[in-house]
This record gives sequence, C-alpha cells and structure tokens, in this order.
Amino acid sequence: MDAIADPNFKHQGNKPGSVEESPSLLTVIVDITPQLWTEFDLKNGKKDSILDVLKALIVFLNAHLAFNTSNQVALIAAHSQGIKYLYPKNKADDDEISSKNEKEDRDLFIISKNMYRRFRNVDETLVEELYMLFKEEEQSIGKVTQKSTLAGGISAALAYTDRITREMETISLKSRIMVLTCGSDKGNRDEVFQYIPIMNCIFSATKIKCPIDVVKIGGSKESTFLQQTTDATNGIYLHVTSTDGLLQYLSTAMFIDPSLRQIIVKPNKGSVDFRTSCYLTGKVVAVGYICSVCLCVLSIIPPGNVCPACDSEFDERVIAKLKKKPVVPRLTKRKSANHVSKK
Amino acid sequence: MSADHLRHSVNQYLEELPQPVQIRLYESPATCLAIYRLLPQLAKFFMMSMVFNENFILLRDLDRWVKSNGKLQFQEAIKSLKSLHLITPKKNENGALMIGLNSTFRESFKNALTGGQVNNSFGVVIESDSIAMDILNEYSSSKWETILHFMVGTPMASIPSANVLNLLKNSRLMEETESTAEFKITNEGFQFLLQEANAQIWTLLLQYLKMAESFQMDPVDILNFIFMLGALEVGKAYSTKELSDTQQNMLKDMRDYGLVFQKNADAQVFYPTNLAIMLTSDNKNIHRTASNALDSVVQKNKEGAATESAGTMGDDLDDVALQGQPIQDGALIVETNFKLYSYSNSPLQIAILSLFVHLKSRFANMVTGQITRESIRTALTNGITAEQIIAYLETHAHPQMRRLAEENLEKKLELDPNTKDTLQILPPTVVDQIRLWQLELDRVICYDGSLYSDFENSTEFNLLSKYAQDIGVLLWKDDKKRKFFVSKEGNSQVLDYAKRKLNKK
Repeated sequence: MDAIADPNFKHQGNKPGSVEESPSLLTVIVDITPQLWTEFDLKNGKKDSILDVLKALIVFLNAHLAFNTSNQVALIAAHSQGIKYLYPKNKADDDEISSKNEKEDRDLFIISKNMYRRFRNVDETLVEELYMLFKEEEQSIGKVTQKSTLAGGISAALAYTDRITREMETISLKSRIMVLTCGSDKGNRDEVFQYIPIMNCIFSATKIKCPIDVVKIGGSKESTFLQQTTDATNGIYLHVTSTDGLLQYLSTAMFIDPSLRQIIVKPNKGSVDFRTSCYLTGKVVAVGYICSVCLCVLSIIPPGNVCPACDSEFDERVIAKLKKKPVVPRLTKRKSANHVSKK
Repeated sequence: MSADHLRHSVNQYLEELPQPVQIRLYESPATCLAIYRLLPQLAKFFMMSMVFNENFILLRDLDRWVKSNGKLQFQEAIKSLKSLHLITPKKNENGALMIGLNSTFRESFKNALTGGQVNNSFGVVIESDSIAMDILNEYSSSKWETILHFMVGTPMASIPSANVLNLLKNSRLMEETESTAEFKITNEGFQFLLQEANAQIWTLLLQYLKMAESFQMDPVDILNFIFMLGALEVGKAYSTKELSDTQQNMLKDMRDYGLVFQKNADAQVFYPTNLAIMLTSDNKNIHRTASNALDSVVQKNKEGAATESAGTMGDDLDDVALQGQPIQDGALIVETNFKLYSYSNSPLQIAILSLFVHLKSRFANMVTGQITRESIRTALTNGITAEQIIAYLETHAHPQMRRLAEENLEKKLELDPNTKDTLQILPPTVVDQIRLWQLELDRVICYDGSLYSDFENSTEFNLLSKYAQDIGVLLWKDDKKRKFFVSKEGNSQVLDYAKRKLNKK
C-alpha cells in the first residue's frame, strides 16, 4: 500500500492558511441623535458634520458591496425616538410611501444615474429614507428622548444578521456589525443605562460569531462598554477626533472582512476598561457589592435589604456587618478627630 | 476549488496583456470594479486602503499589517497586484520600497465607488422598456443548454450556430472527425462539462478573445463589454447606441451564447440575462439582494393569510428567482456505501452525472446511482481526473451534507483547537477510493537510466550497489541475479566510482 503515499494524495485538502472566499453581510448602526451631533458641531466650530459622516458612510457601503459580488449591506439608524431600518426597506412601508408621493426626485440628484446598479439601489434608498427620518426628527423636537436606542439598534442588527445567515445557508454568509456613534462631552452619562442591553448583545454576538466594530467620533477617548463589546466579539474599536478623512479610516481599519481577521493585525491599542456598572445608580464601579444569588453588581447597599434584580432577601446580620464602619484604633485624640472629619 | 481555477485563468489572461493595454482597460470604471473583484482577498483589502490615499506607502508597513501565518497570502497578493501593474513601486530617499496605486485605476475606481464620472461604462438604461424575467431565463438557459447538450451528444434537433461550433473547435473542446464531418467531444471537453457554469462561460469567452485578436478586434473593447455585461441588472433594457462598433458586432455572438437577449437582430436595445451576471460573480447562486430576502419573509406571511394572497399575486417579479433558490438544481448526496442521489430533473445534469456514475433509477425529482470502479474507470479513460470528479461532487453537494460536515468540524475544533483537519464534505472513504482507482491506472512508471549486470563476483556487485544506494540513485536491484538499475542523473557518478575502484584491483 505504499502507493497511497504517492503524489495523488499530496494535494489533498486545501493549502494550509488559505483564506476561503466567502461573501459577507455588513450591518451598520449609525447614531443620528441630533442633540449629540449639534453638541459636536458646536465644540468643533463646524457645520453639518453629520452630513460628512453620512457621505463617507455611503461610499463605505459601496466599497463593501464592491468587495464581493454576493456581499450584502444593511443600515439601521438609532435616532432620538427609537430605531429604524434604512436599508433594506420594509416592503409594507414602501407601498405607503409610493402612494403618498410618487418619488422625491429632487433629493436624489446627488446620485448619478449611471452608477453601478447595486450601488445605486442602495444609495437611493438610503438618501430617501434619511430625508424622511430627519423630517420626523424635526417634528419631534421637545419630545422625551429614548435612552438606549444604540443598544436597541445593535439588538436589531443581531436579529437581522441571524435571520439572513439562516436564509442564506447555502452560501455560508459571514457577517459583521459596525457601530458608528458620536461621543458626547458630558461624560458617559447616557451610556451607563445601556450596560445590561449591551451586555446581552455581546453574548448573542459571540454566540453567532459576529464581530462588532465601533467607530466613535469626538467626545472622550474611552467608551467603557463599547470597548468591552469590541474586545469580547473580536472587533475593532476606533476613536477619531474629527470627521476629516473619515472615509480613509473606514476603508482601512473598518474594512477587515471576517475572513481576513485571522491574518491581519487589528488596529486596536491599549487596554480595555472591564469595569461594570451599578444596577441601581448606573455608575461605573471599581469596588462594590455583589448579590450572591444573581451576581448583580451594586455600588450601595440596596434599600430594604432586597436585591433589586432577583428580589432575594439578604441576611440582616451580613448586611449589618457590611454596614459596620472600619474601626480605627485610637492612638491619640488629635489624630482620631481628623479621621472622623474625613468621613 | 474550481472557482479559484476560474479566477486564475482570467487573471492570467489579464496579466499577460501588455501594460499599455492594461492601462487602457483601467479607464473604464466597470472594468476596474470587475478586476478588483477578481483579486485575492488580501489584495482587495490593500487596494481599498490605498484608493482614498494619494500618498505612496511603505511596502514594509503593509507587511507589518499581516500576521506571520498570512505571509503566503501577502506574497500572493503583492504578486498579483504587481503583475496587473496596479501598483507602481518607488524608492524613497532612505532606499525603502514604497508603493502607490496606479493613478488611472485609482481615478476610475473612485468614480465607480462614488458614482462620479462613469462614462456610461455601466450601460445606459432605458427605463420605459422592460421585459419579463421568465422570457429571459428561458432564452438564456435554452441557448446555453443547447451548447452543453450538443457537447454531451444528446440526440436532438437543434444544433448551435456556426459561430459556436467554430469556437468549440478552436478551443479544442470538440474536434471534427474528418471522414464524417461530425463533432466529437475531446478530453478537454469532458473536463469542461464538469466545471461550474461561470467557469464554462469564461473558458469560451477567453477563447473568443484569442480568436478576436486574429480578426483585428480590440481586446480592450471586448473586455470592457464583457465586464460591463457582468455589472448590469437583469430585466432592464440597455441602449446599444453607446456601444462601439466592435461591441455592436459582439452583441450577435453574445446572443448566440445566451448572454444577452434582443427582440430582433437590429433592435436598438438589448437585455442582459442571468448568465451575463454570472460572469463577475463567484457563486453560482445568483445573488438575492437583502431586500429580496426581507420581502420573501413578508411574502410568506402574506401567503399565510389566505385572504390576502390573491392580492399579492401580480406584484412581484422576484418570485421567479426565489422559487428555484432554496436547493440548487442538481444538489446531490453521496453515501459512504458509494450510493449517490441527485435531486435534479434536467437531462443535462443527468447526462453529466452519467459520465462517471452508474445511474440506476430515475424518479420525478431525482436520480439514484452508484459510483463503481467501472464507472470511474470509463471517466478516467475519457480524460477526466479523479480531482475533477471530487471537485464536481463537492461543489454540487447538498446543503445538508455541507452542514453536517461543518458541524463535525466544529466539534473537532472544540475538542482540539489545533487540529489540522479540513472540511470534509464528502465521505472520506469515497474520496480515497476514487483516488485509488486513478492510481490503478498509473501502475507502470517509466524511468530513464542504466542497468548494471554481468558482475564477476558478489563483492563487486555489493560494492557498487551499496554506493548507488548511498548516494540515492538506486532504483531497483536483484541480489540473486546480480543486477541493479540506476537513474539517469546518477549514472555518471556510479560509473566514475566503478572505474576508480575496479581499476585499482
């Protein structure tokens, strides 16, 4: 049976390390909350930087479609009142629109008629939908804004990804998600309320092996929970200070296809802040209390000695022990007085 | 994979074009887009990072970007970019190698992406005109299948046009027997039949290009037209006015292959078909757009409600594309006992399968058969290789086989993340056996060399044969008969040695 070791058996299987070409789905969640972008504009002394972002984003989506013929894109907007699928459009809405106004040609002049059809289909829908969305935003000025639309957007993207992957099983579609957001200057106040929904998204994303990339424009450099998201899902976190040259960032750092992730060095840097937030106050905690039943993290001892998440009652004696202040040995009278005032 | 093979052959053709021709090609945005898609993945990534960056960048920086396990692909990517002259090298003042994107390509590609000046390279749509999808599908598949049927030799009335016959002859897929003037399929022809549809079309088109050069047609015009066809949208009408004379002539030939449809020969419009779209896509699955997928769900929901279903009947052309999609035609299952089930009803698929499978029975939607030693041997003697059969079986495997294989691999990876196993879609017994059957045919191996015989005593024999063995040129020896055989390359060494040793005594 020496013959089995013969040349015919040598080229069996694929070459090691060869990347198999497979189409991929890119879902982009863009945060277009007007309030955030206005703050950003004011700070940088510019106007309409969101338009720059959206322009770059459209070209980026085209680039993704160019990468492989079977590549697909989806775009979800997280705005002040909730989320909206911009592309692909829901068929039901479509009928409504077409009956209302034939076609809003005046806004579409920026898209060339002779563009590659697949680009044009996507781009036209996007421009049209964005226009509608901004109109809606205009009307809802002064309404109460929803807190965690971004996390909602990520969940919607994951649900969409999961469905498309199932439907396109025959061509083994890979997928990734990109989050484009604008950082606000007021610390991470808004972000803290999103901890639990974002955490849930991370778990489902790792399960379906879908990396989540994040681009944060302006604001503070760090973004605790979004950084944790990218770290856990094998994604990329990128912070840019202005919208200048955003397209170059997108087409380089954000263009790593899932199939290339094994061989390309990711442009991530530094450490990730792994801290979590308090269930009650929403503050980021470094040292805190933890419920022994449901592992919910708290920065204060909850009122009523009941866990706010799972309603289990805590032992009074244990709570009493926790509440006990550290005893400072009295060395001299003067020093002990100092300690009290510090507290 | 045959898709790789296809890429390779198209890329090779492009690489062999002289540089001025390549540069002229890059003037068309549609062509740039198609060429970009043909590149290796890593090359595409590098290109994209350079398109919006006017500066030259250090080659070393690109290299640093790739982890050590991807160096092979890195070399491959750079090589293909260089041979297509897509990047221009330059030395900076420190002597380090810098590269930049070809400026013509950069401009055209940028225009393709942003929808700038595209110069009608993506075709001119005539909105008022349209055509039903089923007419197009029927037309393209009847044209194309006529060609394939003719090659397989199915007895039937229609014979492809003279142009097509000429092309088949020139590409040596078929040959004309002199005595009867009948066409006979060649070994290459058999191999051709096992390829995927887009690879087949490209094989013919590449041949077309070679022939066209002898007719003084401009390859740039032809390639631009081919790549444009791949970027069009099925079901739309396109104007012929913008085409050059060469391209107008080509339309007739493309009609013969079923790539485009025209209502009559002098029509001012043409309609691309599904086959044309396949030219620039890897997957034989003609892409369904995401919105289509979304629609299909909506559609299903609607159909669930019986009252509404009547209303939705008329509104969707996409239906045609969706129905055929879930399982590709000809999906087949191979069992470990060499039984094969193919879910196909098309005579063509069955004819191709019968090239290497012993078919047993045919049902309404499937055929069953057995892979036997005889059936494989007939295929092998026809010039089909074991690798081709295996590749065909793999690409046509039923989605369920693929899923099963993926699950198995995942389980293995969980147990041992370093496992070297690759995805095994087909049962390994069948794959090995097909290879073994091929090996059976190569029993005799020829070597050039010299036979040493008639030794006077065994010490002389032992001395020389041992030396030959030590330097690794001994191919065969027989101690009893005192004979041994040495390969051609080693013969002079053994002779020298014999002269030195034996003359001394």
